[in-house]
Amino acid sequence: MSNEEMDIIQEEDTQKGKFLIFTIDKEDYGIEIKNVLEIVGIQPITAVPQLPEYIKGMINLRGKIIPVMDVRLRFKKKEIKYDDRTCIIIVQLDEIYVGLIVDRVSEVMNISDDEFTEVPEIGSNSNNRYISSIGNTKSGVKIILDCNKIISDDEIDAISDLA
Amino acid sequence: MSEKAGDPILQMYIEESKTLLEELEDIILSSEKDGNLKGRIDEIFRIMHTIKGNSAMMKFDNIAFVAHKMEDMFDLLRKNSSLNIDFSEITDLSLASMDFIRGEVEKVENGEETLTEGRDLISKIEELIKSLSSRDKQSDIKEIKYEAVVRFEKDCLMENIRAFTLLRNMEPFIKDTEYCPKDIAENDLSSEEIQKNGFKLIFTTDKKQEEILDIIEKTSFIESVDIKEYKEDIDVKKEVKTDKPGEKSKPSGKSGLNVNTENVDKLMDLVGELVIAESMVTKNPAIANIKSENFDKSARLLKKIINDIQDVVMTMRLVPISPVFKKMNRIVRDMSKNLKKDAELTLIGEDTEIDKNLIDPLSDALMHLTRNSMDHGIEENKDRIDKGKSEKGHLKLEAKSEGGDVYLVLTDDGGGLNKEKIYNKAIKQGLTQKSIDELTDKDVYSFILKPGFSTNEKVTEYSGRGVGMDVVAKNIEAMRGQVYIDSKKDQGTKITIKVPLTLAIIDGLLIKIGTSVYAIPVKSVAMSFKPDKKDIIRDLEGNLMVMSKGQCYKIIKLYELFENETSTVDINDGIIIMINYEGNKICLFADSIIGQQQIVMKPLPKYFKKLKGISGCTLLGDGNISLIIDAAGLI
Repeated sequence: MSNEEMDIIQEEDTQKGKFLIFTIDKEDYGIEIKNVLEIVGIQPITAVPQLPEYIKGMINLRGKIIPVMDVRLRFKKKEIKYDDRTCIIIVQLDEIYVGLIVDRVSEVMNISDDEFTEVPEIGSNSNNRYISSIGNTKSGVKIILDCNKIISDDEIDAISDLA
Repeated sequence: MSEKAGDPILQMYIEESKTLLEELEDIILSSEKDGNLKGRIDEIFRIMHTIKGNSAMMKFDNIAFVAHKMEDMFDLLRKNSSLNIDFSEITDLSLASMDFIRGEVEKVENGEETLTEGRDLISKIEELIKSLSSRDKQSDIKEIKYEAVVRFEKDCLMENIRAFTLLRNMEPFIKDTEYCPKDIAENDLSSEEIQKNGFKLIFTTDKKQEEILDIIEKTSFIESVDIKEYKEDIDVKKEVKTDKPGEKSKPSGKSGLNVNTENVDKLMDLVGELVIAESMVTKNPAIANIKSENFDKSARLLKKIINDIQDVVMTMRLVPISPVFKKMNRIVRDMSKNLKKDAELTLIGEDTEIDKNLIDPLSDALMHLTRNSMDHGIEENKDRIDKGKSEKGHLKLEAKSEGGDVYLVLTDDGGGLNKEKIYNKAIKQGLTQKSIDELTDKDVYSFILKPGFSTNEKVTEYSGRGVGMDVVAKNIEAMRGQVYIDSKKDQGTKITIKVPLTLAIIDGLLIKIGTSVYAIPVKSVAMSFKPDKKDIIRDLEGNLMVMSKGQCYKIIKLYELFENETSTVDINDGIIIMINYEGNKICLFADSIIGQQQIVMKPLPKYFKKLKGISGCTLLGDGNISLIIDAAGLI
């Protein structure tokens, strides 16, 4: 095994079990840290037409153009005005970069395997389809989200098929 | 291995070799076309010599060895410039060696170790050298063109008859004879001219000079013979000698520098950041109250320099498409030889610049299309004559940029697509249920872009495996481009590839809608105007139209299309921009025009896929993003 491969495995090890915790409304959510590229404050957003409401548009992150999604609206919660606590979490999944707009980012947290509980079945069409598991930690319940499911979007596909 | 690929010397070797090979291919192919390989032997020799030297230095002995053999061969040709040889064999072998070297260089580039020795190739070259040098040995009897002036003894009289006798004597040994004066047989007065200037002869012979001299002198009354090699040939030789091997001919035009594309991308992003940082500083509220002329001046200078840098970086990514086009030349040549179909490729618009990142995918696509045209499009020579066409097939590859797009058009004058055949196959494959009459020609042709579609019964070396057009179409679509097919039976096929100039700089007209700024490629803009109230027409469905110069045009309210909030909703408050796409015109309604500026086309994030009426986006000077309106998509 080459050094490089060792490094990758070690990196994966250090990222395992770590979650970025953010808040929307009163709930704490977590996403796997390995998907997170960086966190930036709210930026001027350019609106893009013909997209679902929760896709706010795109931002210019140092010359890179990144679509942004308001997670609040994605979860069909009420829209609020952005303030200086509002953050954009830039996540990367394969080739796709997306910024997730959240109320605020709190911390990076270790959640061990025995702290997770099963998600109760409520039907696949509700908001719960974005949940991958629930972490029951000392500092409260954290809803762990599946980044892929938040980002992958039937509605967007449908729109681009129309075009 | 990664260490190897990163080695700057190796990188340089690879780049240089590739450039040299391209140059070589160009020389060989163009000289084949105009039949003047002879005149370019020195150039080829020099390139082979350089490749040999470089490869030996880098210890790629196999490449060096092949290059060495080629060098030997061309050296031999160079030294015997008068040798009369069939150059097609040499051309083929040169191209084969070139392909071998290119393959090896690519292996080196990919960090592969397995370097083949190319024994077959070397033995072929050696054979050719052997046969050439055996011809060289006989070159004692090689044909040389001579020029001779024969003077006859004074008072021998009837010089014209003597000259005629001389010619008769020489006839068995010489050919291509010219002489002066010409009318020796008919005109007795020509003897006077011979007395004065001598009898001039120009001829070609395989005899040695001395032998010829002997023959001439056998004729009676000859006083003196002045014989030398004919001048034209001597000139050629001189010219050849001044061009020393190993001496680099200066590349014409601009000098180049090979830069890693990744670095250019990084630089591009950094300049983007720089622009934003600049406006963050100069528009910082903390300094808003500073009223200093000096500061303003410095800030302006900074902005100007940054803009200049931005411009330069933008152009760095654009490269001319000509190397891709030249590859096609080679394909047409090889295939026309192998398939025994005469064909000629015309290239138009080779200087068209496209983004470096598009070069490779486009090259693959064009290669495929060219092969298809040669294989399925162009008919056999015999069939072409039967159809009353020229024996030679014609292919035309054209590049042009229009609006924000680059168009690549490949036209052939071959058999065209067989609509019925395609339709039957489409039915078989379950691609359609409609009857053939319901489908337009274009609908039917577009079936060949579907996966697994190939009507060619037999699989040839070049095409017909059924993976092909669909891959081309997919690759082009991945670049947000499109493929159009047009064909007429027995007249040929025209395939158009349209790709957006992803990062190309275009002139954009910036318009304002509410708080958003949009850009329209200036090339698509026909005109802009403030309409008169009386020119606005509303149809029965409430759609707006405008009369302009006696014509009626549809108006699209951009704020409605793009869901922008704006206070400018009345047609008379805003401005109308007429856009033009392939002769079709439509009017767009916007709040106001901000101005014209060079913009860099960037693709929309992949996440959005396609949006109607938007072809991409661009970063404005203040770091904001502006969407680029796609004229073609709106019309």
